[in-house]
Amino acid sequence: MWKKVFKYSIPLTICLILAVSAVLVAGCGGGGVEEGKTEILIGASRDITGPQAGFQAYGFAPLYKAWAEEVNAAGGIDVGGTKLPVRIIEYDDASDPAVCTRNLEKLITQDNVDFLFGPTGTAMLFAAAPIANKYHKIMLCGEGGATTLEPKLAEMPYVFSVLNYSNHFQIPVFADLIEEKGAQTVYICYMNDLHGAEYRLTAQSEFEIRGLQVLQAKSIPMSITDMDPIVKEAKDLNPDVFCMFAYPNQNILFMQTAMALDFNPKCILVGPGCNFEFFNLMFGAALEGVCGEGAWNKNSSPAAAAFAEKVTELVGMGNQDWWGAIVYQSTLEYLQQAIEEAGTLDNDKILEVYRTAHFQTTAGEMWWDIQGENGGGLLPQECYAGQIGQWQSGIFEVIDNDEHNTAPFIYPKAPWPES
Amino acid sequence: MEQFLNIFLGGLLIGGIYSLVSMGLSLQYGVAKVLNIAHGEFLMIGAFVTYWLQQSGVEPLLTVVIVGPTMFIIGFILYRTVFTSIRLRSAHPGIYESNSLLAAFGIYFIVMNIGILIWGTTPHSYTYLNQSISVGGALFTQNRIVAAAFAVVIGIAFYLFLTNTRTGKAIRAAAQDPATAGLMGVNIDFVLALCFGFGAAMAGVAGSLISICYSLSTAMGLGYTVIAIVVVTLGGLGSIPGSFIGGFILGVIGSAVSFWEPGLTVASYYVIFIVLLLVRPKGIMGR
Amino acid sequence: MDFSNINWKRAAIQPGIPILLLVLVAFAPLYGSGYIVTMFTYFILYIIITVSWTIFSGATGYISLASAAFYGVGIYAAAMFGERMPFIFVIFIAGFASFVLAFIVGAITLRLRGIYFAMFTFGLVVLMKEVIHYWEITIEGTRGHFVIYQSNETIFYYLLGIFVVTIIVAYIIRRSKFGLALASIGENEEAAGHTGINVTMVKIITFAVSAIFMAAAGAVMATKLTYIDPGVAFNPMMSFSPALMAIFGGMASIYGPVAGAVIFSYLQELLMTGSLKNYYMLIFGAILVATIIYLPSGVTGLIQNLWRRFKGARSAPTRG
Repeated sequence: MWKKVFKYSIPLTICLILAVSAVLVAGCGGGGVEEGKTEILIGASRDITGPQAGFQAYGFAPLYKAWAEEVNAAGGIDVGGTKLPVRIIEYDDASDPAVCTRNLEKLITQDNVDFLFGPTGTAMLFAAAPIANKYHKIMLCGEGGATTLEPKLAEMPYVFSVLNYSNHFQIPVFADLIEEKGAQTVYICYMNDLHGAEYRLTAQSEFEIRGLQVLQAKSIPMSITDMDPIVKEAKDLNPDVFCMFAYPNQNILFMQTAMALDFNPKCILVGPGCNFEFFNLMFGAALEGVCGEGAWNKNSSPAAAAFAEKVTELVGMGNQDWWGAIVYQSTLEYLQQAIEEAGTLDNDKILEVYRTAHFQTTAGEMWWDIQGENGGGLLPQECYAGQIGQWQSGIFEVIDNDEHNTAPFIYPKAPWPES
Repeated sequence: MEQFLNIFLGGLLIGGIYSLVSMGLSLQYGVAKVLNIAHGEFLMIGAFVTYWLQQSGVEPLLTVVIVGPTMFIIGFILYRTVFTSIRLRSAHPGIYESNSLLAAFGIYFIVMNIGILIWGTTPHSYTYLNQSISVGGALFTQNRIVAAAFAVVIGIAFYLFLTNTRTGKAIRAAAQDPATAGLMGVNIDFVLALCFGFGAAMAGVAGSLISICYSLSTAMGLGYTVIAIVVVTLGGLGSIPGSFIGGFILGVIGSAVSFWEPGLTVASYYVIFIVLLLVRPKGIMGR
Repeated sequence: MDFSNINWKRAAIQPGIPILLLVLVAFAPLYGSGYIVTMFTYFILYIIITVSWTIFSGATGYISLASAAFYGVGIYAAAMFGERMPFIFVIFIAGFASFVLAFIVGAITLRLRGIYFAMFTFGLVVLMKEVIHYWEITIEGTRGHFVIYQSNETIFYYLLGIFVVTIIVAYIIRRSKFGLALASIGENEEAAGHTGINVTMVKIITFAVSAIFMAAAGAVMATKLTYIDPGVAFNPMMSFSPALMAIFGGMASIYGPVAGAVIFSYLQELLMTGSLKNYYMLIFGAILVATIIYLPSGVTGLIQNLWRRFKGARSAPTRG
């Protein structure tokens, strides 16, 4: 009889021990942070080991960390008279939305973070935004942006979408540019994920409104290794403009294939990836006249020049990001000023500040375009340093056709150099 | 006509590399009975080693001489340390197959993490022989032609090795019936480890060849593993010539689908795979 | 009825301990911090998936890698019907859809044995993922869907309910003639056929029944994820995890898969968010390989072996 008891009870005891220890471990982490706040905690679930990890590790994360270090070196953020240092807690989600939601819940309910930084990539925003809103935590969504999230933002007051994206000025600006130069036909190739699909839909409608003809819109999978079919078909159709909405891997592949097969339309738009300095280091002179989403550079303003120098020192030459870096930095500066203005870490009070306040940042004056009655926010076009960039003599020039411009748009682009 | 050439020759060129990758998996899976999910990771390591050496000035095609033997040794040791003990402990072949699949998963995680720790997750690439040649009006880059030619030469050389040498015959005997081969005086542990080593070497060499025409990332492995599994099933388990031919067939099909709709290329592989399993699980060359 | 044969102590202890544990877990939302509930939710999710995987694969030896397909069907059912009808109906629809899918898959894979079955089921998962993905991107022009969210407690108790049903069904199947038939199929399929067992029917029905719980769990989890896409729904890891967890825990008893699921998901939790996150896959992989080599019958098997050895050592002197 005791045999039976032991047979069943031992595995069960193990389960019990595990369950209890789980409770204890989780419980210990959760307690004791509330009273006497000594630091400002910011949580983030980021892609540390997944497909976007390269972006995140070299381009984005150092910016956030450098900002926190800079703030702490100055004594911290002034919250109602006491200066509190900032600490960023970062978990890995490997670009898996399921893990991301879980990480965010852990950050909010166990680590008791005060604010959230968004995850890496557009599709991930969709996973993160509802969670931030569910738990009433302000979230600054950096690297990504989605057209289909815009109507939802009206019901998500805690979510602030930082980056410019497809219909959030980039593609309309680009469409104006090529229309003015008399382009007639476009070939669109897009990544079969949310990022690609949104850019494609926006591009197709913006181009057609302006009377440009979209010859073809083809989706490619993330795992594509052979771009020949796309480039060969495009070469046959001979479009004026070629748009490539994919990630650096595929964009690099496209550039190599286009050069090898000598496909040289009058204008090429590739991104993201093109906005990184490593593209320039990789392709050099061949990049002359290639456009990408972005954009800013050291000629944007004296503050931008100083910031560019700082970032290069921080992340190295190749990881200089001429699209988002300046916006991320500026929204962080805005956050600091908003906390100081509110004089508390109460998210709802800070939200009040976000709805109305204008603050001075690296990118210039910044304020939020609140969606709906009292929804989340987007940045207005004036607050960005630029929408479309074009590589000209090794500089990613802003070619927007407005006050952000650093150089005129060159159309048609130069032929590929002889190799 | 030009369109046909583009599809057909383009398919054969990528097919050459698929063949090489799949022959490697065929040895590991068909003979050593390890469904090696980590196969593509050896390919990734091979590709990155070539990239490394290329950056320090070594001719990329020559790196095959370094990558092949190194991967062979790694594969051989891995089999002797991990899979031999699993095989000896398993009560029957079914348990061995499922346990070694799980162990291969572990190795997949380990190798991939090591890759990420060394090379990060950013894409890498270099340019080599990036001019195009016109074949009947269809344009192909030189690097692809060179890579495919190399792959085919290595594949044929290995087949000759299998048919004409004593070791090769032992491998073929082990593929057909390991128990009987063991009774006939074949050192079965040694031969299976040899197969696993050759498989890893082929993956590594294929990685080197891939690096001269495509960009690399540490996440590239699994995609090639999946292609190899489909090809091995297509060609017939344990049939080396089957995998060789299957690689070209899958290359041409993939090329045709990607001309029509690139988004469905991966899905088409699985359709082939599932239909094949239902209609002819033995594959085209299986017995 | 004759009560004298019932071993009262055994009757009290055998279901007693699980029920005690269950009660302990059931009150977790009351005493735990917010995250405890989330963590337990994931534990229970993996237990459901692993135990229902073991119902079919553990007994018959057919390694099914289709778990993600059934889980994904549940998730998509919640995404499509979640806003239109009460939650409980959504769960039933998910279970039914998954039952039908598993029935069809079971029926057409009759000829496949061993590793071919594993490969087919894996192919099915990835094919579903690719096709739905393609459909969403090119036809609908988007990717993924939002799912209306439920409170953490609601999700927790729904999952707990499914968990209890899963365990009871698994126990009944294991103890019934049906379970005996399954086990004999696992040992020798042809011999089982000769003894008069309708091998085909037993296999298909079990496979389809085990799929119900995975889909039901998927439908509940979708409301926690709030945003789902084909990558989340048909994540191949959801296919491999139950197999790994069951083998890690040991499949000889019902506790094995449960222990395996809890240990593995706890490990994942510790490694992924701890200071070792950059080495997460490395450690995970190493544990996996070590388990396969050194613990072929799983953790529960190891404990039983140790116990036997301990008892053996105690009784050794009597043997002289």
